[in-house]
Amino acid sequence: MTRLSNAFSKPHPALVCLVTAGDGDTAANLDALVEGGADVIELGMPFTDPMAGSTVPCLSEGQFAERLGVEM
Amino acid sequence: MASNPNTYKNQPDERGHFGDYGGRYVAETLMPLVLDLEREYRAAQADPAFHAEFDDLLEHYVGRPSPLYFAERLTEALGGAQVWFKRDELNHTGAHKINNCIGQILLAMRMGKTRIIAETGAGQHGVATATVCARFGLPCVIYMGAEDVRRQSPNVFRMKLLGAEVVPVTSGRGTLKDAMNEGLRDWVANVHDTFYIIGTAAGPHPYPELVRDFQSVIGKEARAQMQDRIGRLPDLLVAAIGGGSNALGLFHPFLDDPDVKMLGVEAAGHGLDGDEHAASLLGGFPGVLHGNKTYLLQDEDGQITEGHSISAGLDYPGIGPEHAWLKDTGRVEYTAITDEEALEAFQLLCRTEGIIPALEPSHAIAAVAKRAKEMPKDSVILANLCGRGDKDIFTVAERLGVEM
Ligand SMILES: Cc1ncc(COP(=O)(O)O)c(C=O)c1O
Repeated sequence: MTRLSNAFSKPHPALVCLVTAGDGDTAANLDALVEGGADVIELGMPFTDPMAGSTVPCLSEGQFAERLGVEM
Repeated sequence: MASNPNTYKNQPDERGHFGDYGGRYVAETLMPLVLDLEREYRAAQADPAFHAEFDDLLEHYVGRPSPLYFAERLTEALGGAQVWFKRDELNHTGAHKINNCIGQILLAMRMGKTRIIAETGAGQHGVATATVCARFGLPCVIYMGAEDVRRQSPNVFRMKLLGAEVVPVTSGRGTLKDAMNEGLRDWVANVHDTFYIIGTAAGPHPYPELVRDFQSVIGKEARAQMQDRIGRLPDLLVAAIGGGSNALGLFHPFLDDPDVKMLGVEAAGHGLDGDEHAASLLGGFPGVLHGNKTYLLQDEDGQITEGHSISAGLDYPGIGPEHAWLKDTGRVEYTAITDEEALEAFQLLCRTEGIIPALEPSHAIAAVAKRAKEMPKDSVILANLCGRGDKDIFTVAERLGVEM
């Protein structure tokens, strides 16, 4: 939680980015966001049935969700 | 309500939970809408004018009460329990779906909404929604999976005749659940003027509750009709389950009658041992979809899998949350019927009673046929004949190898 609170206590407003896992090269996308100045990155798990998680629903999300698993 | 712990009729709680199930798992953009809907529903429940208008439309527009019918030749053919049917296939538009649509469009108008949206699978709920929209002069958009648009073209034409715009949904697999996703997205985007008429007892609270309440007219009538005709209640109630609205409509008014047993019938498709079925309770496990927690067809990551049934009205990968709770409590028993068994029951009813049933209640009839044989002749089964079969004759012809 401290890393998250730190991200919000910078002198500028925090730039929070959402990127969907599995949509293209996820590792490269994350690096590019960090390089571009993201303070917080929200990594979205694609779901077969996205509703309103983001304001622009990604039409392909349901399709590649079927090919992506979670390992913890 | 909470004062009687021995009732099955006090669900959901104030936050929409049926035991562990149900709830309001929606994005924050939808939250104000469902809270608004709940507030308006509570006001309508307390308003005698709302009930009077609902009852009046059900009587004079839908044609209620629907008859209670003793199926004498079917009973003889099965050689066991007496089989009775609640004839909801005789309603205007040919299924139980219209009961709920009347209730919800009255709510929409109370809320000052001027545009109606709905999802549909087989097209029965779409037709019922388009019907009430025509009746009240409201514009209507129906989301329907592209695959279902192709399979159910007569209902697509019906909806268009009634003035609805039918939008084919190509996301996902292009079937019912994708149409429901699209409906929810439209709702988020058009909050100010749009009312979403959900077609089964699922979705975020208060939908499962209000759909059940509007459909409960089936069980209330049946209870009184049974008393009137045979002076007692039936021993067993049977109904088919897609999302579960016709079954809850029949079961709910009997839940606190301990001598009345209940059997919900899911679609076993090609069999429960494979993936080609739509039995969320018997072949799925709890998860979250479309705003509520319930039994779902899903993989181990919680990704939703597609159901299969010969009946387009039963192949929803979820089930209303109240059924999930009724299963866990043991109050209702659930079973599943395959495509083949449903096809046989479809033909059996045609030939013994001169009634062409929809493929959905054909699943219930197949379950009745099995149970009736095991029950004594003085026992009574009441099944919900929730839809007529005109919409299904093409599917049946194809499966029987008949060219039309
Ligand atoms: C005739 C008929 N019965 C049953 C169903 C399944 O819905 P539910 O389980 O909500 O009654 C449908 C759905 O399209 C239907 O058209």
